[in-house]
Amino acid sequence: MKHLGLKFQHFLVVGMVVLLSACGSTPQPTVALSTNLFAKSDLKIGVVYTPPKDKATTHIYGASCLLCYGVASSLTSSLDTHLESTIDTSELTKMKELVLSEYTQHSQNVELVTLPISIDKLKKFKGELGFAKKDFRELKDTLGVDMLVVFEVSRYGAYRSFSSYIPNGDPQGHVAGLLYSVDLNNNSYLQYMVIDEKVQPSGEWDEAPKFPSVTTAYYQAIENTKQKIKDAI
Amino acid sequence: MRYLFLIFILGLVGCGSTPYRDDYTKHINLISNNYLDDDNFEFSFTENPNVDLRGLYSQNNTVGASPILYQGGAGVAGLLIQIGTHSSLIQSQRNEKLAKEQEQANKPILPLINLTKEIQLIDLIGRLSSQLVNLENTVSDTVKIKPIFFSNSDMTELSLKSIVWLPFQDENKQQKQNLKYKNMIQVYSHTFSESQHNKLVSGDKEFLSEVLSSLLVTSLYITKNELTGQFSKNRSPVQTFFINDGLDKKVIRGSIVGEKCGYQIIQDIHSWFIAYPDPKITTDTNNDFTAQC
Repeated sequence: MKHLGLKFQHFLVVGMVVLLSACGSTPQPTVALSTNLFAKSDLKIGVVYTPPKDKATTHIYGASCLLCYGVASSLTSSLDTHLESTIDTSELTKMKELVLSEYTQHSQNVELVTLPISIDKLKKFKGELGFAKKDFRELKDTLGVDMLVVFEVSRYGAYRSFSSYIPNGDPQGHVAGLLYSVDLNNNSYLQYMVIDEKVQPSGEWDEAPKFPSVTTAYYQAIENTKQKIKDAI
Repeated sequence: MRYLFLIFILGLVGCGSTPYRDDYTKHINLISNNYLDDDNFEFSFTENPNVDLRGLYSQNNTVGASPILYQGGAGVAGLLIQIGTHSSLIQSQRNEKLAKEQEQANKPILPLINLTKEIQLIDLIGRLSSQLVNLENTVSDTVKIKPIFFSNSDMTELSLKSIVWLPFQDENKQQKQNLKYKNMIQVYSHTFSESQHNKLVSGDKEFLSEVLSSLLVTSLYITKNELTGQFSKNRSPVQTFFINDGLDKKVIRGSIVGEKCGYQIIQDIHSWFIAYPDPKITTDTNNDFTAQC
């Protein structure tokens, strides 16, 4: 029994340390792409696209208890149904093509690649800020590229902020993800940009069943993101 | 307790709604194919005969998180009351944010707002004045119009949002819906040339009237065409259009329903009509606000 108590104490301490170290970590700041990179004419660039795992929906933040989340979900359920049925991934595919075409303007050796394993399953890389958290270097030989551009869309649809049970505002058009590129020689970031676009709908949001304001706000978020991608590359 | 639950539900539904704005409307169309007669088309402005000009403002009414410590010892009834109070607090913050945005947006365009105090709507409609009816003389088919003009902070672009509606006839008063048609017509000016901008800034009332007139007459043209069934029913598929609304590059999802005087007329997914200078037409062609189309 005493042995079990000791184990639990160790587990608790390790848990606390992990939690505190996570809280203390500085988020990766934006890394602007330097066009000097493209001076090397033989630089080979691979672009990989990671689509979102889920369908378009309303992403709820700030509903911090289980009951609050239930209330929040019920307030947005009809919007979720609309988003799931009408918003497809075609605009996300266009954004991927935009990333590809923007890089193609800098270099002739750009190709869309498919990773042999998912990024999550790559080994961890212990580097400082400015280095990828996963070890991409092993992909250099497999893919035959010097630089890997990752365009990842994690959320799309709408976003709504809550304070416990109460919404702080209307659902907003939303796209979120990451655009980064990694030097496969040393695993450093050559570009790092967080995508977190939220657009306020123009006027009333709760116009079921078509929700035109939120739908338009979503397309506005897409176009704003496209512009940011163009500016960044 | 039942009443408390009712208040709770109403509170949550209420706090989920967008703060009221008078420059917004939901589309209503119960006229089906019973279009108005082209020759007898009449309209009337709302009570305010003057030009209502406002600064373009950000419509983001989302407020920051406002954490509140709910007192656990107050019981279920107490909890519901606390949630209701929290809800009212946030709703009030959202309303206040919108009001402040509008107040701030009006400041840079005060010279224009002052200039419009001398302009009446009736002065802007030119040859359409024969179709204008006094508010007290309206009949059931008289279209009511509430125009609100906007200027960007640089005073380089003006736009108009017109709320138009048709009430039901008296015998239909018992119906739940008291309107048979309601919609919003938006018209954007092109960006002013430097000389035009200077005219506005220096207080050229005549030029301001020309611009406002051009916007208002275009919105009346669209209103008439819509309510008399002139717009094409064979519309192109919904696509994305871009307009510069004076604040930023704005996306519109909709279909083109017509073209007029260098304007593209788009019906968006709200069913609103939006007239925007056709990007394919050069600014020189579009620059003349005096042209009567």
